[in-house]
Amino acid sequence: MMRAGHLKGAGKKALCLLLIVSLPILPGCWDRKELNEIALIRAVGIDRTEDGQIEVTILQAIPVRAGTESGGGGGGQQQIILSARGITIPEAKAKLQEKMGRRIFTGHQEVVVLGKRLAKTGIREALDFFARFPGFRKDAFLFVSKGTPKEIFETVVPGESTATENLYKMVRLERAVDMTIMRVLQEMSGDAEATVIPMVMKVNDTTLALNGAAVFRGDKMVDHLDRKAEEGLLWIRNEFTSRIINTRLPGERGYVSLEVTKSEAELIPKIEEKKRRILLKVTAEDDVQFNGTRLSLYNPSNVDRVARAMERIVRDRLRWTVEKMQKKARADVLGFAGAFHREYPEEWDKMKDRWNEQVFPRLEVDIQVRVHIRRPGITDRPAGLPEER
Amino acid sequence: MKMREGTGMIERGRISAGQMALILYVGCVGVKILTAPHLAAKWAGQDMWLTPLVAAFSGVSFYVALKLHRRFPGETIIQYSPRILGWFGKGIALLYWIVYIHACSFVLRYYAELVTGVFLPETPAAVVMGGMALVCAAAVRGGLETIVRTAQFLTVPAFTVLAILAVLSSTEWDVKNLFPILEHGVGPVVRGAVNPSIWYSEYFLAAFLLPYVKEQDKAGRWGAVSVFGSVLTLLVFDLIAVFVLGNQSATFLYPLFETFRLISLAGFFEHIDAFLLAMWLTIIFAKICLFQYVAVLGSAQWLGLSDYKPLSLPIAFILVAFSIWTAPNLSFLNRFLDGEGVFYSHLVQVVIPLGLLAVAGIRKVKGTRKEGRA
Repeated sequence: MMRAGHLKGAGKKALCLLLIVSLPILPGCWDRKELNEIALIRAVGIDRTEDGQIEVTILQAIPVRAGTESGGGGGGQQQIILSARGITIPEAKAKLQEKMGRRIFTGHQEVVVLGKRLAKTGIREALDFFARFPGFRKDAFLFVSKGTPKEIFETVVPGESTATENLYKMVRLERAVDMTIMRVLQEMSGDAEATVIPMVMKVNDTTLALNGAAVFRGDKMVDHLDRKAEEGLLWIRNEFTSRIINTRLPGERGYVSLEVTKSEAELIPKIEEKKRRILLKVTAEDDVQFNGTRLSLYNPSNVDRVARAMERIVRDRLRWTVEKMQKKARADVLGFAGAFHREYPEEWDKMKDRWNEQVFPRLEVDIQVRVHIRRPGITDRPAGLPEER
Repeated sequence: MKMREGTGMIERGRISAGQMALILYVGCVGVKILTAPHLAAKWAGQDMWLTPLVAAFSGVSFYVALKLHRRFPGETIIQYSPRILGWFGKGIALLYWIVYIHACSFVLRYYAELVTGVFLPETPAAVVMGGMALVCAAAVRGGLETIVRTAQFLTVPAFTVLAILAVLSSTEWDVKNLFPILEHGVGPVVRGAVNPSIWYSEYFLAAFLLPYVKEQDKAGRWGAVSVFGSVLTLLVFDLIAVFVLGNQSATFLYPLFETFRLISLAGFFEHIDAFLLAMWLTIIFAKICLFQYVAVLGSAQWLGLSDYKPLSLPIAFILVAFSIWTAPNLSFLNRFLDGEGVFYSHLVQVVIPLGLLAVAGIRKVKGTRKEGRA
């Protein structure tokens, strides 16, 4: 009895010891990451140098203790920019790590900027790295920079702590095609093997601007869309959220400005005896933001005239974008390939290999636009006009 | 035979039919829920959500286990296989013992590959596996009731959370990714079903649980509910992977993980991947517990011991060692799960049991225990 009790006590002690010994292991000691041991990377820039090497630039945010933030104002910089070169991205990243006491931590990275030179020589390698490495978020936004990524990172907008904060907010406002790593991967290996990535450029030392979009066929940038063409792209890709469009009515002076509040594009492919055509149907809902003409929008027939004029403008813009894609870029970023694939899986099998080069440029595209004006505003006649008309 | 009677019933715990259904369900979807859309999508592309429907045919293993159990109530396959085939049956029982040690080490390794591959890259795999094996050893030592109750306690909330996350991911859905359906016919779907069918064949584990089920009359019905539930679960999560990832479901090894990583609600509810791991941990814990329990119980019964509990810790060590040996890396594991593994698992869990059933029928061997007495 005594002996058994004694043994039991010893067992208990052994168990306690085991528990205490296991303490340092159990909290995941190996991969502990303390905030003062990591470098929070907010953005990564990747570019190709003249001699063909890869240059990786990182933007590290310096965590500022709450309350001690020094005044903000003209570029109270809370960022460090570092870059290194190597034959591959991981090599360059390792070289960067050599310069830093803190461990590179990419779990909060939101923006990836690819240099234009890299974009022209192919971005597949860069994407493979982002996809393969588990520490990268696949919902980081991708950009192509007109200059080097470094130049973009150095442009800090007053009021923001880092350069990319601003970029991130700009796409969040959906003034551009917002392309995440995941979406680019999907489109690049999708039916059309083509994608677009918004371009960003430095305007001056404190201003960044989105500058249209880069069109990729395969993994190489083949064309640059300006803002106007990009707008058409947004309509077709169903990403159009809100944008102002000015219309002029035939026989009237002044403009009417409409805000597009809702738009929906539908792609209807058709194959009739070897002839392939696609119907692009866009339905938009608009609000009137401004009326510079002397017409009263209280009158339904005037509203109708505005809507018809608007339809014409939108149709012309879409036509322009489509033709630019078909004739110049020869890259189907409009989603036509997917529409054909879904509608005609068997025919798709036969034409998918020569889609971008032969089929897509010769596709006949019919464009149908329907505009509904939902809210003409809360005034009856144009403000500031006398009663009599 | 008399000697065997005394040592046969070494598990004194009893579980309900519903609890059996739950633990088998966890055993089936545990790994697949996170990883297998990858293997299925490799073959079936956007049709991979149909693969669970095809794979569910392997759930017939549950029915085989049930039939065998009805013939030999109160016994596991380790016990009735020598009854049917004598010394050769003893050899087959040994095969099962080894197979389940191997299967358990396989799952353990798969778990470790995810944790070290994605979350804790610097932690040695042996530590990750050792930690899990030790915890499971403690649970197995507690007996069958402990295992099913912890499973109930942990996995039901975990699955609820997964369901909520699935709904939250709906902002990223693109239903168009689903079309065209069955573009290349049924062939690719059947090929893609190879991997999930392995997990379904593991419903044969019921052969080790059925003897301890209290409500024998409900066992069959609950088994069907379990198979149906797992089909539905996998179907839903595969569909979500297609909706969110589209053609990238085959690119990423852990599609569900990537899917949930994209969740962003109102700009602040994001970065929930670590949370997903925490939820999945409880599920994989229950799954490893089940396998480890079967391995431990099987060895005790094969050796004719009067208790299986002392074996739980030594077998945990064997499992860790086995899981290090079992494959050099994750691609090897996946290749096995997508190729020869299907023959292996179906041979052991469907074909051999069917053979045993047939021989038992021909030789008119029957169990000696009464049903329900257990």
